Amino acid sequence: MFVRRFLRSTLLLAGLSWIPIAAGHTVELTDGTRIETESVQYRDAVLVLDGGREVPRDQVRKVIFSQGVLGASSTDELSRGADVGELLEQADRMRAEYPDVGAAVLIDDGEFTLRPDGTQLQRSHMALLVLKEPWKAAAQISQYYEEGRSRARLLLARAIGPDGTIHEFDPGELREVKPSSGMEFFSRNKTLSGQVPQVEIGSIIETIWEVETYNPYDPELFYPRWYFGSTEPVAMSRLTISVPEERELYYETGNFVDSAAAEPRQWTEGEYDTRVYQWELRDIAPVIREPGMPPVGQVVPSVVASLHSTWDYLFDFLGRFQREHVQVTPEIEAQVHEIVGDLTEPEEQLAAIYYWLQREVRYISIKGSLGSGLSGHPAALTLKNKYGDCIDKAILFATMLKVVGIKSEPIIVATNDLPADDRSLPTLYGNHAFNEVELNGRTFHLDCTGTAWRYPSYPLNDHGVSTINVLERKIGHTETPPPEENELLIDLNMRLEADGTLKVILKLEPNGNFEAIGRMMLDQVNSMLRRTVAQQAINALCPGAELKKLEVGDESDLTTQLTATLKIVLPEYPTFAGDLMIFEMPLARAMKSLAAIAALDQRDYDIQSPTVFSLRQHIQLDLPAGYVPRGLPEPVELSTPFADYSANYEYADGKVVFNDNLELTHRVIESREYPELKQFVENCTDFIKHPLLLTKTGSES
Amino acid sequence: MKVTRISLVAATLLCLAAVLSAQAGNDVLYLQDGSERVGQLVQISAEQITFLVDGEDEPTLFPRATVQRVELTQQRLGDQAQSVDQLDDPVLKRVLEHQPPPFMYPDSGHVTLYSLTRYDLDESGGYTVRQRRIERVMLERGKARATVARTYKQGEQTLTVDFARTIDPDGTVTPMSDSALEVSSVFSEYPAYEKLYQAKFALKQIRIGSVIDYQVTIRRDEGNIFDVPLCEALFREEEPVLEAELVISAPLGHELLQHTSNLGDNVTTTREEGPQHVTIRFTATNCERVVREPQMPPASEILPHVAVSTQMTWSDIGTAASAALGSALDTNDEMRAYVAGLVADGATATERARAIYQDFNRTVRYLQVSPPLYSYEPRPASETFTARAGNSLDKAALLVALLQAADVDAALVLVCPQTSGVLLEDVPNVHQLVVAVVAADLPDGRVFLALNDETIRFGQLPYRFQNSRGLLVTPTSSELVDLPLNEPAQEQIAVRYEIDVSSAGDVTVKKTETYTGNDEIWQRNMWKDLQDEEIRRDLEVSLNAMHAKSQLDSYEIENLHDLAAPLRFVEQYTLTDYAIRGGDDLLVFQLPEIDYTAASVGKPARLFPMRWYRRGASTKTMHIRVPAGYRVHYAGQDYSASTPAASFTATFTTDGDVVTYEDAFVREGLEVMPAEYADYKACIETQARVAKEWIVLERVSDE
Repeated sequence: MFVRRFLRSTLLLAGLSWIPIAAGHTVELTDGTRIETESVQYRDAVLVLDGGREVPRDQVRKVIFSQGVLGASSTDELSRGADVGELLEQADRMRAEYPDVGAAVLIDDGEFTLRPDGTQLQRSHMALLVLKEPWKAAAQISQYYEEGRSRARLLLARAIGPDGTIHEFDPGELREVKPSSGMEFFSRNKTLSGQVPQVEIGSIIETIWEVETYNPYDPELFYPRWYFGSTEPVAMSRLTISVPEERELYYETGNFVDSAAAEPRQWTEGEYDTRVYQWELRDIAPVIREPGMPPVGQVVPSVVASLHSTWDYLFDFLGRFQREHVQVTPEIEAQVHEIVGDLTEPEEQLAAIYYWLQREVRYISIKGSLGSGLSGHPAALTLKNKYGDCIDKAILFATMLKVVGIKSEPIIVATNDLPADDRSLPTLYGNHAFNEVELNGRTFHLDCTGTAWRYPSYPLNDHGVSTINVLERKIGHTETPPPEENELLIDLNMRLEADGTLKVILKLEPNGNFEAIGRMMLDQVNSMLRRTVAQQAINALCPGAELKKLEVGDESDLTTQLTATLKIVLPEYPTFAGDLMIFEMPLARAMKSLAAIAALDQRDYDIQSPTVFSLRQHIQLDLPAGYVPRGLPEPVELSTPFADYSANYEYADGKVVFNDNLELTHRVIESREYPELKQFVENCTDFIKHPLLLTKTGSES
Repeated sequence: MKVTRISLVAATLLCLAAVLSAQAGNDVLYLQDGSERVGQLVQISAEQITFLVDGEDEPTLFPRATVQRVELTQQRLGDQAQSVDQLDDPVLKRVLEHQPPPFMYPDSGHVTLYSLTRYDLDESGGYTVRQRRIERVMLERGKARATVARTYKQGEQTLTVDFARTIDPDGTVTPMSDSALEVSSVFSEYPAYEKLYQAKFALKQIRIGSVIDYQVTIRRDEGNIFDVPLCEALFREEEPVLEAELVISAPLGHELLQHTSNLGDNVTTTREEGPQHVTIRFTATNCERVVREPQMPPASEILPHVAVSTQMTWSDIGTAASAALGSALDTNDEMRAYVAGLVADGATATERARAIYQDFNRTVRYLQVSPPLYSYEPRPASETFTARAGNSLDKAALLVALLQAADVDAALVLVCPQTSGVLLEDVPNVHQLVVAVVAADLPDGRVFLALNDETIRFGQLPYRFQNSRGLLVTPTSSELVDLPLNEPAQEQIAVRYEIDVSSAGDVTVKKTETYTGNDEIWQRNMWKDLQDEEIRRDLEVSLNAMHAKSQLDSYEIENLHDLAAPLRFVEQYTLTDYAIRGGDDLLVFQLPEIDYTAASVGKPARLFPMRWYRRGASTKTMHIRVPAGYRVHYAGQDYSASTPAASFTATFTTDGDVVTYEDAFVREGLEVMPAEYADYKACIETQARVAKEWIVLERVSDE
């Protein structure tokens, strides 16, 4: 994943003095020691510093070269913060209005400043009223910065007790640390971290941080983004963006109920003739989460801004890296030829390379700069290392496809679990990358990041998102594959004995994401554990269940659909209720639980599923001699704009045959459609919940 | 960006220098414009940087102003070797020569070919730990072994990656590069406890068949009794291990205490005395893999396990802990005022302890940093009080100080939680004690007070601390003590239902739940931070997962935030069309909320015992009223099963128009041995059968 290049003022908020920018160069040794030096030279594996001090290479981790002091420092005076009396009044008001929330944001004030020399300053002022235990964690304050590029400064940090007592944070306790990330992630970012003392329920935690980007990669990369409100109520949220007057600022707003509030106040001020834009909202009610709702950032008011109205600048900026990285080398060429072998059909070649990249290039994300952050590493390096992240793999994929003459480019996206962005304004917003492919007149998408996707399926979080195709200089979107391409087919062949024993052959035929998830699970467990998991699952269906056979396809073979077959014996499966035998279809309970999505009486927000799907069951049940069903449910055909369900029972010659098909046809169900969804779900489950009532022939009363 | 190709002569000289320096070409040059170059740093001068970019024949000159930084890759042992033949490493060569063929392990993600953990203990209390692993990747999941993380305490220990390389099946050797090495703080979010660091590195060129070979060394120069390492090894892992060694070397005169358990014939032990050192070596060969089973006991109790420490006594450790505690028990005016504000005049010792405890966990936040990962010396109580946050050790010292200020006898207890395995008393070492609680000695007995959660009522003890051993420490004494195991009745959840069924098939339910022990702690935790509306929605989701046409009519949670009173939950809901019509005359339905499952006993037999960490009981009582005009046609059968570990009974009785369902599940024992598993399985399956029962009502009149 590449670095998200926007700063959001949150509780992660930096020293009463700047982390100093070294006037000279910085040498970091392998034991963590840092040496500031005016002079640095290197030859014969020895670093020579001020005064001729020599440091052998094997003791040196890195050398950061001075860029001189760029940019004007902000005020050296520390902020006194907000008026305590006013904060306490606000706190009382919010507590009264929202008595059971975990916290209330009293001040959420962010400033983004682009200076005339291209340096940037971001200031974040936050005051948070702590009302429940988890929010005490807000006492842990930290601020990211990028060494050699930016520096962080904490202007104020304090806890204000309910009685107005002020507990100041001791700046001496700020620590510069490199936080841990997940096992696959290797980054260089550092944080300044501290803990505000004496935070209790009822305390207000107030912090003011500044981050100065004194050495920007490119002054044009200035993309403020702001969300007004969240799952906690907000008394005041304000965004201020300042740019030199001669620069145009382009912005977009979203979800503002009051259109007037979406228009910023504007004025010009200061020694540099700065143009200031300001948005402010007050008394923002909290978002109460609803099952399946879109990300919170997608439903609260938001502002995003850019110095550009078209994508040309970003296409040029990113294109330079990407073009440099998408270069065929003899090694890449040789590898591609080895992969495709005798395959001559382009689609077969494409699929073969798709599989090879998924399985043979391990996911490891190494981010050392904006270049690798946004545009990965050169294709040749990723191939050499046999590791890389999403953008590395996308770069290598595009390069390998070049070898066989298939057109493909890396695309940058924000996956569909993040707030959506229609890309009408150019920014670097995104968290993922994969490939756009053009073949046989068709444009489609493939994602090599994972290890389990059979061609042409690709991960569900990539579906239905806007795309940035830098090399083609176009903005587009990904398709959502139809339900039948993300389907789970369940085939049950069952024979019921008169003593209640049920013998079952269960076949599972998944495709799309169902299949990929199956492969990923199988990849992680050995055959004994698979058997244990299967035994647990069937024993949940029926106590005493016996797994006679478990056959699973080869999860490592991406060329063949994964299938599983289980032979199961379920003793005393139906319930004998007097003269009745009550038989519940084995997966009915699991199907019924899908109703949870329509639990609420009404909704404020849409339901957003990562993708669409189809669940199909075909069941044949051989009844024991002498038993017949006591009536069968009538067939159902339910159709809505977003989902369909059909099901029917048939009985003949001692066999009951059941077929059903549930299809979610649209990823997003709008809140206005919710009553229809609720009705749909209720109608589906009304049918599904019916057990078969079986009676002995001639015994009907 | 302006870069310059340098002249042929200069290039030749520089290339020569580069070759002579014999560094691997994995340095990374970060340029001002955000791009990166991988290769080899050749020279830094006042104006420019000379860098040999990977894949190019000639070095490039970069103006210094265009370069932001350069990161160097360290030269490690054996990095010059391009093939395994060039490595002078007899262990590696032996291991590679004797690799088993892959078909012997078709189902293993990886196979450990060789593992060594070696402790060299110093006279000064310092030590060196060297860990080497040689592993072969067999399947996709085995590739994860090529990313390695090891932790150490920065400032007290140093960690060195001696070497890390990938050996391809064709013998090619690829060393790691430092761009895939990250040294980071594990507890960066807790600056006051930020000492544990992690060095993480990823190996290159990994594929199925690759051999991973790395060695990491951790060094500590000196230490006190709290720093003596517990030298441990488990000689079975989740994948096969062909050869594993644990070696402990100590200066002569240092007696080593050892504890071994579950060792098989494949483990040999040798003891050698040299002129200056005594060395104990445990060698295991052909260790078969462990296949995970649900509810397994801690690994140290069931797998081949060795623990070794230098000789000391629990008394020695206690004395040091007493001194450390003694110097931490300061009080100040603010603390005294805090205590005075909570304790009423004339209150008994129990009342004082209760009042302080029930406020303390809400006032002082728990930070989850285990003492061995930071320090066994608590910080001054007043500091923790000012911070209003601390780990279990610091919170314990503070609570002891506060209780003492209220004239309550209290002590710190360092605990070996039962979830970590039993305390090895024959190998005294403080690193077995990984969390702290407080013991208050009150007139009616000793009460243990846990510090990790603000929802624990006075006298309740989280299950992981029950049935455990701990070292009780006061400023003047110490002793090993037992932490009690609660009776089932102290860990109980009881639910009563009043249910009405209508002739239309609708069902209305009034449910009342009460709790004791850990069930109460869990329930409070589940709800305490949610808004009313969020709780309502969660309840609605649960109901709809049971039945689509459900309606939450009301709910009430009593005493959620009042730790002085028991938690009680009352919920009323309606399930429309819950009962299903069977023809014109039958209404059939299952008992709502009876969702027992036998998933945990799916395996027909077990290799290892099953283990729980608390006893407990749950009861359900339902009164189901039949609609007018209907009679009970079938109302379920009774069930009963009993084993030493657990018992279950369920009864259905019909009295006129009321069906009463009652059940009780009691877990008396904490362990089921493999030989007892069949009976236990039958018991749980008996319980699960109730979930398949139906109530059948038959219409007898039009009313």
